[in-house]
Amino acid sequence: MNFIGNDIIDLRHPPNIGVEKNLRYHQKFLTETEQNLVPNLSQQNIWLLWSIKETAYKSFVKQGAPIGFYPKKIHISSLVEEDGKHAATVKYEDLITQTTSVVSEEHIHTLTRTEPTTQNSKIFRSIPNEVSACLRHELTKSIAQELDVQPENISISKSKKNVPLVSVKQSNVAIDVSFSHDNNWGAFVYEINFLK
Amino acid sequence: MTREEIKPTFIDILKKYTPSTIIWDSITENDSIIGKLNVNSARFVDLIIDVEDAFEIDIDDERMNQIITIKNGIDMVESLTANP
Repeated sequence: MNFIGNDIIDLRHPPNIGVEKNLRYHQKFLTETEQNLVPNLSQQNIWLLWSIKETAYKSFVKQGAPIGFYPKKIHISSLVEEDGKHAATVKYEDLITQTTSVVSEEHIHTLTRTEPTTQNSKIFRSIPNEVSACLRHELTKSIAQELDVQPENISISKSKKNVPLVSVKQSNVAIDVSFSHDNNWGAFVYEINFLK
Repeated sequence: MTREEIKPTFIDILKKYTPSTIIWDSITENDSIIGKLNVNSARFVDLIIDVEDAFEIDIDDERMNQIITIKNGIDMVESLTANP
């Protein structure tokens, strides 16, 4: 299992605007070393670093890390830009993961880096009050197509550790899934392990 | 400050960052802020800053890491207002 994580940030969501002017805000989750990984602390760069940490956190929780909010214990140790993508290495205690982020004018989407052929991922736009329902609908539809079953046979829940779980005909199946939404944007990624 | 004084203000701040779909009558102090109340983790930082401003306290990284449930948050404020 790859312990997939993903995160999407809507850069036009009003609470996400102006973060670069709020020193207290980014000091709550970025170390000085991490602040030096980007050329400047613009809105885009601050949310890029956030998105990397959030994605890695989701992966680390699946690997046994505790639930909670401890962003400075999750360290981004390297960040490089290649071909328009931002590749990062992230550590928490003895766990390590790699992430890839794509930044556009409207959003930032980060994924844990795994074997691309085994993953299905999608980004979509909705309206804020419907993005959560839309996300479940899109994810269910996509998994149903992959498994060749009816969407109504698939249900998505969360474990006590807030990790998404997929059931097909009321039986848990080996699908590693992560989903995220922020205001207008939703995103998911999953991997069906038995197809490997 | 006492818990009775802290709780209404803490809950009011929390409500700014919880989805409108949350049914507050079913929420207890032991429910987790990010998990059960579905507070987006980016908004969790806003919540912490608002709590700092409202109670004139400083919640450092180590203390912030310990706030999982509503009870943890209220306990933290109680402790910091008693021993700033």
